[in-house]
Amino acid sequence: MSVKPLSYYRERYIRFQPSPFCPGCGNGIILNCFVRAVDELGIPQKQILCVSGIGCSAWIPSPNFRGDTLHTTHGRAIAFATGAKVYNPDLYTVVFTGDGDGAGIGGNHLIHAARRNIDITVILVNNLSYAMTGGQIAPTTLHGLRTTTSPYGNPEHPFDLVKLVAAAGATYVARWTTYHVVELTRSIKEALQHRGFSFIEVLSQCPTQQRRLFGFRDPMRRLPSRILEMFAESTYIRNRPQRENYLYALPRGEPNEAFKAIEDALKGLEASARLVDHITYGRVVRVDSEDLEAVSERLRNLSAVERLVDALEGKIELGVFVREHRPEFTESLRTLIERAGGM
Amino acid sequence: MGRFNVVIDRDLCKGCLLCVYICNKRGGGILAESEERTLLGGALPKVIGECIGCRWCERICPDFAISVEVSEC
Amino acid sequence: MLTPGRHLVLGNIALAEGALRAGCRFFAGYPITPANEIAHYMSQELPKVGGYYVQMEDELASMAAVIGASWAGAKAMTATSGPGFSLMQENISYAYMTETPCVVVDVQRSGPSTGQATMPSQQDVYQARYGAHGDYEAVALTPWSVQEMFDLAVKAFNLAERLRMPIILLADGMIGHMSEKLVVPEEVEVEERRRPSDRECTPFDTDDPSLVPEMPLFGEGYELLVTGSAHRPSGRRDYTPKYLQRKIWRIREKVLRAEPKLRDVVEYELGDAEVAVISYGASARPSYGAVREARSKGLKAGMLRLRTLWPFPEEVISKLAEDVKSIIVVEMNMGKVVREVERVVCGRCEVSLVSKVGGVLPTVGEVYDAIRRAVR
Repeated sequence: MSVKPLSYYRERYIRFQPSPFCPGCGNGIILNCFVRAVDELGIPQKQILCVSGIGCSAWIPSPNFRGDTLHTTHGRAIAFATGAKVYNPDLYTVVFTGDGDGAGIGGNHLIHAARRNIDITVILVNNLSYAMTGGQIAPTTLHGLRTTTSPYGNPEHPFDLVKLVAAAGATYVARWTTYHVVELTRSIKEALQHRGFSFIEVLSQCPTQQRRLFGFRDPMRRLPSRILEMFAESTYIRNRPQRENYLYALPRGEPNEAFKAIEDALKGLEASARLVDHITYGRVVRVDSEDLEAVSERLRNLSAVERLVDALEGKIELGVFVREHRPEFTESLRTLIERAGGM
Repeated sequence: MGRFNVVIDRDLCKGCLLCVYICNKRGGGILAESEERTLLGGALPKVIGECIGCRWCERICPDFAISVEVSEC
Repeated sequence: MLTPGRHLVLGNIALAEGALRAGCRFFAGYPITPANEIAHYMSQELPKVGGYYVQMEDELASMAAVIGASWAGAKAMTATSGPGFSLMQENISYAYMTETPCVVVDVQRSGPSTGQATMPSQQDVYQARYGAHGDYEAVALTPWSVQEMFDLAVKAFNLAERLRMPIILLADGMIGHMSEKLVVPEEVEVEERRRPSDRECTPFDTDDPSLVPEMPLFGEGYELLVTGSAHRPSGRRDYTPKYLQRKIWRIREKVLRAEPKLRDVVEYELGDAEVAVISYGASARPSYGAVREARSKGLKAGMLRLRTLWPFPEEVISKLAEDVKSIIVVEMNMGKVVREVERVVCGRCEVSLVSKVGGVLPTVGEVYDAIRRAVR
C-alpha cells in the first residue's frame, strides 16, 4: 500500500472544505477512513453512490465526498439505496446513517435490507444520541444517561446493534470506534468488497452532546481526545489476546478523593493506579499490576471503593462479528429475469 | 534535515487537538498544543520535534488539515 | 404483456399494462387493497422485460425505492391506496424538491382510516394536491374506464419524464376492480427525460423555457449532489432564501406554464346546456347516465368530465360559468372539487353538490334529480 499524505486524499476525494462538523467530531474521522478504503481498493469514484439520511452522519458524504451523493429523508436512506442498487447493481452503494437515523426511525428498513441481504454497505455512526437536533435520547443511549429529553436519566435500554443486524440476516457485521482508525479502514474495505449486506457500527465522539451525556466539563480542545481515550479504555477487540493484568476500582465518593486513598492503600506493591473514564462506570481508578490478587486484597474493603471490576466487565466488544455468504438480493432478482426469459 | 515535514492547514484546522493526542499516545510525541486559540475554543497544534512519519495524525484528523509531506533533502 | 388488440381486462391490470408500455422498468410497492393486482401483474411481467419488482417493507420505503431507482435511470412507479398514500407523502415531497420523475398510483378506497378496503371513493383528491408538506404544484389524472386506466398510465409516465416530477394517477377501487374492454394499441408514444447535453450540467435549474432541468444519473461521473434540503442549482445544500424561492417558483411554474397542454377535459352535450354536471373518475359514469336521461326528457343538461384533475382546469370552468345557469358537481366525498369549482365560478352561476360516501357510487337517479331541481 503506497504511502500517501493526507493532502492526496483531500484533493482527490474531498470537496467543500472545511466540513460543517463541530471541532473534533468523529464524522470527519469516518470520512477519512472511508476515502482511504476507497482509494486502496481503487474503486472508480463515478461508481460510488453514497446515500444518507438526516442527521450529522448524513453530511459525511453529502456534500463532502466527491462521488454521487443522495441525501434523503430521515431514516429512509437504506430504502432509497435499495431502489438505486437494484436498478444499477454496478454502483458501490454506501449508506451513511446515524444511530437515530438508522436504528430509530430507520430501524424497519435496516432489518429488512439485512434480511434481503442486498449488496450495500451501511456505516452507522453511533454517537449515542440525536446530536443534530440537540442531544435527545436515541435507541442507543445507555440506560440512565442524562440527555435533553431524559433530564432524570434515560429510562430505556439501548439496542445491541450488532446482534440486531446479525439476527436480521446481515452477512457482514462489524463494530469499531473512531479511535480504531486502522481497523475501521480495513473493515470498510472488507465491507465494500463483500457481496451482500454489510453493516459497520462506529462508536463516534460527539463533543457537543456527549459533554452532557458523560458529564465532561473540559474545554473544547480537551473533549474530543478525552472521549476517544474513553472509547479506547472501554472497548476490547474480539478474538485478540487481551492483556488483563489490570482491574478497576469504582470510587464510592468523589473520584479524586478515592484515587488518593487507593494510591495510599497500594503503597509497597508493584502496582500503578490512574483515573480513567469508563463508558459504563464513569470516572474510575484503573490499577495495573502483575499481582492482582494482592491489589484486590488491599482495595476490596477500602471505604473509598464501591466495588472492584475486572478488566473486561462492562466493556464494548469490537471486531468483525459476522462474515458469511448467502444469495444476494440483486443477483436473485436477475435470476428471476432469466427465469422469466427477460434477459 | 528532517525527512518528514508536518504541514498544518490553518484554514481547515478546527483546533480539536486529536492529532496532538494520538501523536503523544501512539506516535513520536512531536506535536503539542500551541497558544493560538480558534473561535470555538480549540487550540492549533504545533510541531515541537522531528516527525517520525508514522502518520497517525493524518489518520485521526477529522478535517484533513494535517499532512505529512516527504521532503527529499 | 398483452398483445395489441381487444381484451377484456381488470382495470388495475390495464393500468399496469399501460405503465409497462410506457417503459416502466421498476416497481416498488406494498400490498394494499384495492391496488394489489397492479403489484401481482408487475411482479409477473417486469422480469419478462428485464425490469425489477421489489416488495418493500412498507409504502414509504416503496416511495423511497422508486426515487432511488429513478435517479439510477429507471422509469419507476408505485401503486397504493389511501392509507399507503398517506405514508408516502414525505417522500413524495422529496420527489417534488429533487424533481424526480416517477408515477404514484392511488387506487382510492373508502375512508377515513381503514374504512372499506374493497370499496371505492374519491376522498383523496386533496391529498393528491396538498398531501405532501411544503409548496409545489401537483399533476393528478383521473381515469373513468379500464381503457383510461391504460391510456392515463402511459400519459402519467410521459408527463413524469417531460416535467421531471412525480405524477399522481388517481384511480379508485371500482375502476380498478372492474373488467371492461381494453384496446391495446400497436404503438404508444413514449417520452424520455431531458438528459445532459455535455459534461457541464446544472441538475436543478435551467433557462430552458420549459423550466425543466436536464437530469444526470448516478454512475455517470457527474458527482451528483441530490438533497431534499434547500439547495443551489448545482444541488449543493444552501439555506439562502433566494435559492429556495427560485426553486419553489420553478417547480410550480413548470406545471402552470404547461397547464394548457396538460388540460384534459371531455365535454358531453354542453353546447346548449343550461345545467352542467362536473365530475371525474367513477362518479362521472352515473353522471353521464343522468345527463342522457335528462336529455331524453328534453332537459338541457351536459357534462364536463375532468381527466386531468390537477392542475385544476380553471379557464374551462370559468368559461362554463358564463354559459350555464347551474353547475352540479358529483363526487364520492363530502365535497372537495366543488370547493375549487365555487372558487373559480365566483358566484356567476349556481353551484350545487351531489356527494356520496360509504363506498358506493352516486346513482343515475340521484344525479338526475339534482339536474331536474337545477333546471327549475
